[in-house]
Amino acid sequence: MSTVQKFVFKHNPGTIHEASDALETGDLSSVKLCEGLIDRIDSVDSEINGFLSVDKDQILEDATASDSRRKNGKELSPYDGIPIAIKDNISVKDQTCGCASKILEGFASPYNATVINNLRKNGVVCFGRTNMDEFAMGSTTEFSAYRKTSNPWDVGRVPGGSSGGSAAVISSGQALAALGSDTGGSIRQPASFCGVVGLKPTYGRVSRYGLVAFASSLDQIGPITRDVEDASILFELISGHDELDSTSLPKSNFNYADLHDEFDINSLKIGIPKEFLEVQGLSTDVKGAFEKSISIFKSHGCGIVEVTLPNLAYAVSSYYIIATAEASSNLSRFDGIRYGNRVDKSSDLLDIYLDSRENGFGEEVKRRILLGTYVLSSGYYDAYYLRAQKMRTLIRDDFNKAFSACDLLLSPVSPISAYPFGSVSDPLQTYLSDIYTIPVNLAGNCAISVPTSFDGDGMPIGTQLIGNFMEEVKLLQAASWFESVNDIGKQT
Amino acid sequence: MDEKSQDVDIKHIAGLARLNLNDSEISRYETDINAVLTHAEQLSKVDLSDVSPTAHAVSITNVIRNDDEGVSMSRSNVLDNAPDVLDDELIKVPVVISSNSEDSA
Amino acid sequence: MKFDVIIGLEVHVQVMTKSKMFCSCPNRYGSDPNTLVCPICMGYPGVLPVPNNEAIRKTLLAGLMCECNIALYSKFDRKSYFYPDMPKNYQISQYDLPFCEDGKVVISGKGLSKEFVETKPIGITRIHLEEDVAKSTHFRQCSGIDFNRAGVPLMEIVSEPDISTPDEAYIYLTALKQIMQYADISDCDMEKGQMRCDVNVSLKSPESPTLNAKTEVKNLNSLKAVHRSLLYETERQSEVLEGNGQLIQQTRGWNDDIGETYILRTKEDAADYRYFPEPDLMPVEISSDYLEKLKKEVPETPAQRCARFIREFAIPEYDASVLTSNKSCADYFEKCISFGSDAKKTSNWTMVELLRELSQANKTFDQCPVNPENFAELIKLIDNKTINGKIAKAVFSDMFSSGKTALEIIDEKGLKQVTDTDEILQFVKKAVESNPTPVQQLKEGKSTALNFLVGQVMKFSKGKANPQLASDMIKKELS
Ligand SMILES: [Mg+2]
Ligand SMILES: [Zn+2]
Repeated sequence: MSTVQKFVFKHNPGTIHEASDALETGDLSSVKLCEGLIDRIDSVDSEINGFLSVDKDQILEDATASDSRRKNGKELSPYDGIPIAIKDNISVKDQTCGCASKILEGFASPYNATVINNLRKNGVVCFGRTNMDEFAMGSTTEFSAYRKTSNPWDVGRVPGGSSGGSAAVISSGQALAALGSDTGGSIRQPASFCGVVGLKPTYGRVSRYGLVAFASSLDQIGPITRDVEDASILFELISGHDELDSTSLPKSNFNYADLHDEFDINSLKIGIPKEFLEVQGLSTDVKGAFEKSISIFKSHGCGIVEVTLPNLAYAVSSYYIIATAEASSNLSRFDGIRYGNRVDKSSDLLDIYLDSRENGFGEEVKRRILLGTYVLSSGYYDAYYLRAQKMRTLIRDDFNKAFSACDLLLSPVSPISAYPFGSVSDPLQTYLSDIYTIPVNLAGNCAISVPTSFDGDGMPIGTQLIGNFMEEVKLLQAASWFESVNDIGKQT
Repeated sequence: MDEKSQDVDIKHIAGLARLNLNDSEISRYETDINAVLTHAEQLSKVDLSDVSPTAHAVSITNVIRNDDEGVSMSRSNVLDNAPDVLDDELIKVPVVISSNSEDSA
Repeated sequence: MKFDVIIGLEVHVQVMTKSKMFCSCPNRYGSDPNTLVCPICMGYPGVLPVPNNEAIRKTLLAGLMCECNIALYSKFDRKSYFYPDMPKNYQISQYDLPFCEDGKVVISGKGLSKEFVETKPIGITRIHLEEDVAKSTHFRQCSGIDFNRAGVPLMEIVSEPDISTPDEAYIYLTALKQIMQYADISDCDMEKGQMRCDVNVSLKSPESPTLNAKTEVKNLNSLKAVHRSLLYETERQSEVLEGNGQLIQQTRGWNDDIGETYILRTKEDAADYRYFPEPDLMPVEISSDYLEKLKKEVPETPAQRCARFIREFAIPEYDASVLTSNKSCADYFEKCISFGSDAKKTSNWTMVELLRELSQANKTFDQCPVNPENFAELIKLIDNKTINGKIAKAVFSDMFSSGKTALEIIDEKGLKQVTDTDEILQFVKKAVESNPTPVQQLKEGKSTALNFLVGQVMKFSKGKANPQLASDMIKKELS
């Protein structure tokens, strides 16, 4: 265990619900809470590099305003004054929104994402911008244009990605909770690598307005938190129908109160897709953690059924075709004309495009733009893009069939646990390790990563629970139950 | 998908995507992308002829808005974000040679 | 050698709405540059589009007016290419499932070269909805971009290659324009860029079944430019073929100043638009109920209205086609009739006096200072002989400039026609007494002398005498 991890929560409440209680009783003020976290950032983030920027003055100003609302009995919600860290691809008005990319260096967004408006309505304080893989493309946070974020459990290892900054700052006690985004596992995988909870909501339950698009039909904003309770709280705050997002679900209000309905583990049926244990490269430790979680459910009387996702083997191919195709289009707006960085002001138009994009985009982003451009280009659309979309239909059908036999699916998050920097460099191998998380985005379902145990090197391993469309209540209830009965092993 | 993906013309694709690549980048990306496409050739082994494509994760239709006027941004805000401006009115770009023009709408 | 000319048109028409296609910025022409923009229409990071239902409704209406099949299921797609006037470097458009397909517009009438074209249907391949791009202004050293136009709803109307002459193209565009104006879909003011046109031209020798390679001429901004460029291209392509040259498929631009087309690109470097379904937008389903409701909202087409005017008001075809060529003119005319004025007289007065006053004052029918009720009253006053035609013209001028009613002006100026025979008799006697020579001539049977004497009566009566009455009384006096 690293020195960083040892100091977690020495000075602060660790969760949103603890902090909310303390604010309620007056034992804590928002200013005190934020100051404590800022102190923590000052002492450990030089080692973790989880934040890209923290506007301390703005944070303390917002915290002060919250404290005075509370003092006057005018708090906006039980979470008024709670600080939440924000991934660098979510727009906060007048704050930089750079997606950890040089092409947006210095760009300040002129508007709030809908999730930010939802948080602000409840008095939440936006607490710094967290590091990520550039434009959310990557699963290690090594592809940030600015810095590599370290895994707080071992600073020589990756925190996962692309929401690696969000997961790492929570894991290292620099924030209570954070928003991340998940296109193919970018919330769940870093949560698993850093030993925290990560929820990818059903596609359409959380507005994407203000989330800088990677792959529009797959992206979803979600919470990364210390525990399932916090994930539920944050999910309630950010979810809901949004008229600014055409893909927002019409009725999508989630009641946190529903979570506290009676939950009976004996009437729950968990499906285990048989293909999940046959995945190539599944490490012994992860396999062990997965089997451990199956046995926990089983031993408490939960029904376990074997199900099948026969097209699982095609998920990664389909995903990387669809995601990169959409990305190549979404990222074409970054051209140095209307905002962001323009390189070579004097040259001709084509040079502005070429130079701005050459200098602005990093290696992985270029790789994916090229792949996505190729699969959409004349002569290849039917062979790649259309086939991938058809496979997406089959994968969605597979999930529907599986859910007709069970309530939730259980799965590893990643075939491997957090690995040392630079140890996986082959792009295809990296893509293939998204096998457990990707199918969920293709189908649009909800899923959560919950800490389960540790590998031989003491790195955390999470388990993924997958819920059917819009079934976050069931998902969170089961995850919360699992969290409460599971003895994670080594813990601070 | 019978065409060998080794055919990938990275230079041409980079041109479409407006990316400037040097020779070593071209060969690296060629290798990486060929590997992904070769892997993706497994999709051609599945009979998908009767399957309809899925473009969205949710199946809702007719999400439209009423024709109501809203508030625009201030021009200074728009121009402040722009890398180069003209007469405090327009966003400046190098002369757009009409032969570059692909379309106007 | 004489070639058959095959022409197809792609017409872009801005749809008249309060707000833009995918954001709520005002859809308005003529504001200061870059003041009608927001993060959405500027393509800022993280924004999302939401379609404007009125733009969709008007596109469907245009489809119905052009007798198209309306798609019960359609979707939006992205069309990718880099250009600084396009904020996202892709345009939200429609690829394989447009809103409207398979329609026609029936044309007939005079073209720009005054040649008459017989009734002919021009097929409409499709009408789809997309977003307009920004407006670029070119200077010597740089270009400047105004994004106010970016995101304005834009229909693309693609015709079948059914057009055979520049005149037909001209008449077709005029007909489209009338249709759009009739249904309030667009003003189609080409000077404001509300209607823009690309033409496809190819030649075929009458003996050969195959077409020669086609040329697309882009961005024609006036009806005249369309006509001229088609003439130019027909000529140019004929010359190449007659010189045994080979035509290659190409895209050309139009230089209006020198009246020539110039090459933009050839087929080899054709754009690869990489169309794919827009993931940010859900498909649109049109229910049969909605379609039925919409069909009831379809206004009469200009052609239908013209036929009805002939039938209902018994006016000549020429009158009907002039009146219906402009919707507000036809509306004005019909309104007048509803106030009981005579159809033929109203038609004459509208086509001559009203149109002249309007064009002199540079006003539209909507801005006309004389409302249909007052205009009808003026015509009725002529009909019932309260004033004669000559005075009526002066009265109308006065009405147009002062906004007063005809009766007000007639009363004020005492212009009421004199029909009192005693009063007229005095003028007749005076005319006869003071003009012995014409009186003598009239007695000898010279009829022009009568006109002179009537004129004298009119002069003495300051134009107020009823000329018919005066004429009768002169004859009686001398008999
Ligand atoms: Mg178009
Ligand atoms: Zn706008």
